[in-house]
Amino acid sequence: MTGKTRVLVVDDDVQIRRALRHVLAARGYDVLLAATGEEAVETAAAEAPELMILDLGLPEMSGLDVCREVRGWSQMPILVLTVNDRSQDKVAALDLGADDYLTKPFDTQELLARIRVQLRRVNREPSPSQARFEVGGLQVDLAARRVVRDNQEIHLTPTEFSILGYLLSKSDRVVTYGLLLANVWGGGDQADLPTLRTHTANLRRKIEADPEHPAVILTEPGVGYRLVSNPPEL
Amino acid sequence: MRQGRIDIVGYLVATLGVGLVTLALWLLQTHVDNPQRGLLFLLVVAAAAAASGTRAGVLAAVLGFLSWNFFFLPPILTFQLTNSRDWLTLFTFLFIGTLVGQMTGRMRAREADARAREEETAALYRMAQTLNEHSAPAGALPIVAEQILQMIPLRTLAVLGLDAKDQVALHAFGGDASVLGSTETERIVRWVLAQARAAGLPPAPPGESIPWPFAGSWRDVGVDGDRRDLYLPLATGRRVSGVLMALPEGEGTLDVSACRHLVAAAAQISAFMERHLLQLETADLAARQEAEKMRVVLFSSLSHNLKTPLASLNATLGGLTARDVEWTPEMLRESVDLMAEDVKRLTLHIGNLLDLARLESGTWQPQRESSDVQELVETALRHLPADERTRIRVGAMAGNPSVSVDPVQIGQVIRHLVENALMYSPTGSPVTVDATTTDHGRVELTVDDQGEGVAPDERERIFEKFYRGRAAKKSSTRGTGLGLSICREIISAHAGLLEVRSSPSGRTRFAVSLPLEKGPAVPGNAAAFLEREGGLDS
Repeated sequence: MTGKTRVLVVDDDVQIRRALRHVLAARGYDVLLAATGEEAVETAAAEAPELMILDLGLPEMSGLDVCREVRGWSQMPILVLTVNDRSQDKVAALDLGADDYLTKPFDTQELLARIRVQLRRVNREPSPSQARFEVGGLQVDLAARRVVRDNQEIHLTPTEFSILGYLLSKSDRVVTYGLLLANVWGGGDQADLPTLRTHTANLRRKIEADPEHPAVILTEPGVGYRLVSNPPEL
Repeated sequence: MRQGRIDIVGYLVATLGVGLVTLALWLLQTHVDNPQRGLLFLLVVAAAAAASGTRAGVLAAVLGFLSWNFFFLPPILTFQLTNSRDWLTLFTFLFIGTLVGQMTGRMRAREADARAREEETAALYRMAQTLNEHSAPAGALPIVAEQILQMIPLRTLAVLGLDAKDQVALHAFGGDASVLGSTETERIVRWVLAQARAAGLPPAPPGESIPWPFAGSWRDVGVDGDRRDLYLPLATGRRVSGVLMALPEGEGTLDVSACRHLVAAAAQISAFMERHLLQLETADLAARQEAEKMRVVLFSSLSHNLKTPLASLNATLGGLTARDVEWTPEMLRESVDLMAEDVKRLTLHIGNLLDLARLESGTWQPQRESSDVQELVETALRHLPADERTRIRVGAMAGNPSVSVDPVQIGQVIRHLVENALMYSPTGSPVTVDATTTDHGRVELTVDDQGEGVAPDERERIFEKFYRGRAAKKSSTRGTGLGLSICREIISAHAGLLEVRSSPSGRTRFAVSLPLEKGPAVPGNAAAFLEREGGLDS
C-alpha cells in the first residue's frame, strides 16, 4: 500500500469531525469522515482505511453496532471515543474487538500517540504461531513456557503464564477483564475479578523491573489491562 | 320485634287452644271420665310449645290440666287432685310442654343463628363490594362505617391511625364522633397500633371459626378498667395500618355476636388497607425510579453537551501546541475558526444551563414592564444575521397588542423560536411571525415555518430537557436540547402557554399565548397618576 495512511473519523458532532480532520491532516494522514454508523460501515468497507476512530455515542446505528459489523470482516485497529468515563459501552466495544479507547475531552498528543501505536502494531502483528517475544527486557518463549530476564529464568505458575501469553497475543491493545477471564479460565465461573487481580499482581512482581510502577502490564481502571510492547525507558 | 310476635302467638295458642278444647269437650261430653280426651289438651300443649317455646308450653300444660281437672275430672267443677292418676296427668302435660318447648327453643335458636350468619355473610359481602369498588380509604371507609352501623347497633364506629406527623388521626367514622379525641382514646389507639393486639375484646366463643385477635386487658393498656368500647387492630402480617374502634349503644358492652361481626369487618378492612398501602408503595417506587432515570439522562446529556465542544476545542488546541507540524497561515486560520466555533457552542451550552438552573431555582423573576408585541418581535429579530432576517415575514399584528412581560426573557423566547424555525426548515424558505388577540384576553404569538413539522408523539417531548427531536438528530444541527424547555419555563413564569401545533399549511407552528395587558382601566391609571403626583411632592 502506497501513499498516505487513511484514518476514518466517525462522530456525529460536526465540530469534532472538523477538528480531528484538521489535526490529523496536519500530521499527514488522509482523513475520511463519517457522521453516522451506516456511513461509517459503508466507508470502512469501500475505502478500507488503516484505522478507525469511532465515537460510541452515535444517534441511530450505535458505535457498538459499527464495531460488531466492521469486526465481521476487518481487523483494522478501532480506537473508540466516549464521553462518559464510567461507560460500560467502552468495555462492550473492547469486548467486541475494539483495540483502544479514549475519553472525551482527550489530549491530542495522546490520541496521536495511540494512533501511532495501533498502526505500528498492525505492521508487525505477530503471526498466530509466533512463540517468542521480547518485551520490556523479558524474553518470553510461549512454546517452551520459559520467561527469562537478564539470563535469569523466571518461574511462573501456569495461570500466570496463561495471563502473560494472552496479553502478549493482544499486546498494545486494551484487554478487558472479561476477555482475560474467559480466555485464561475458559469462560466458566471458576475465577472472578479478585482472583485475576491476585494472579496479575503476582505476575507483575515476577516480571516487572519495578512492580510498584508497572511498565509492561498496565491497568486500565475499570476496564482491564494493556500490555505495552515498547515500555518507555526508565 | 319478631321474637315478641312469635311469643304472643304461642301464648294465644295456649289460652285459646285450651279454651276451645275445653268448650268442645264440654259440648260433646258423654264419657266425662274418658282419659283419652285429655290427650287433646296435650296437642294444645305441644302446639303452644312449638310456637313459642317452653314457657308457652308450660302455660298450656297448666291451663290444660286445670281445665281438665275442673271441667272433666270428677268431682266436676272443682279443683281436686284425688288420686295419683291426676298427678300423673298433670306431670305428663308439664313434661311434654317443657320438652317440646325446649326442642322448639333449640331449633329456633339454631335457626336464628343461621339467619344471623347469613345476614353477617351478606353484610360482609356488601362491605367487600364497597371495598372492591374503591381504591382509596377516603372513599371506601365512610361507606363501610355506615354499613357496619346498619349491622350492629353502635353509638360510634371509627377507623383511626397515625398521620404523617405521627399524630393519631381519624380516617373515617360513623355515628357520634364526639366520644373520640380524648387522651385515653389516643393512648389506647397507640397501644393497639404498637402491640397489634385488640383491647376491650371478650374471649373468642368456643368453636369460633374466624381468627380471633389477641386481646389485652385495659390494665395492659394502662387505662381505667371501666370501659365499654372495643378496639381492633387493622393488621396484616406485622404491619398495623390502623385501628377499628366501636362503642355500643346504650349502657352495656358489646355481645359476642357483635364482636364477631366487628372482627370479621376488621379483617376485611385490614386487607383493603394493606392493598392500598402496597399500591402507594408501588407508585412511590415507580416515581422514584422514574426520577432516578431522569437524573441519569439529565446528567449524561449534560456531560455530553459540555464535553463534546470541549473535546473538539481541546483537539484543535492540542494539535496546535505540538511542535511537530509547520503550520501555514491558512491552517492556523482554520484552527482559530474551529476553536471560535467551539467556544461559541460552549458559551451557548453554559448560558442555557445557567438559565435553566436560575429558572428552576426560582431566583429569576420576570422584570415585567409594559411592552408592545411588535416591538418585542422586532428587537428580537435585530440580533439575527442579516441574510437570515430576509427569510422572516412579520405579520400584521392586528391592533399591536401590548403585554406586561420581561422584555429580555420574552425576546429570548421569540429569538429562539425563530432560530429554531430557520434551522429546521429548508434553506431560504420563509418563516412567518405574527400575533393576534384572542377573545379570552390573550395574545397569541405564532412562528410558522416550512419544515417537516413535529410528529404528534413528539409535540410534548420536545419541551423536555435535553430531548432532541428526530429532525434535530437527523440534521446534526447544533443545539443543546435545552432551548425549548427554557422557553417553556419562561412562558410559564409569565402565566403563558407555549405549544407546538400544525400550522394551517401542515407545517410547524409554535404558539405562545400570553395574557393581554389590562386595558386602560380607570383605577389603574388613577393609581399610577397618584403615585406620580406623590413622587413629585416628595
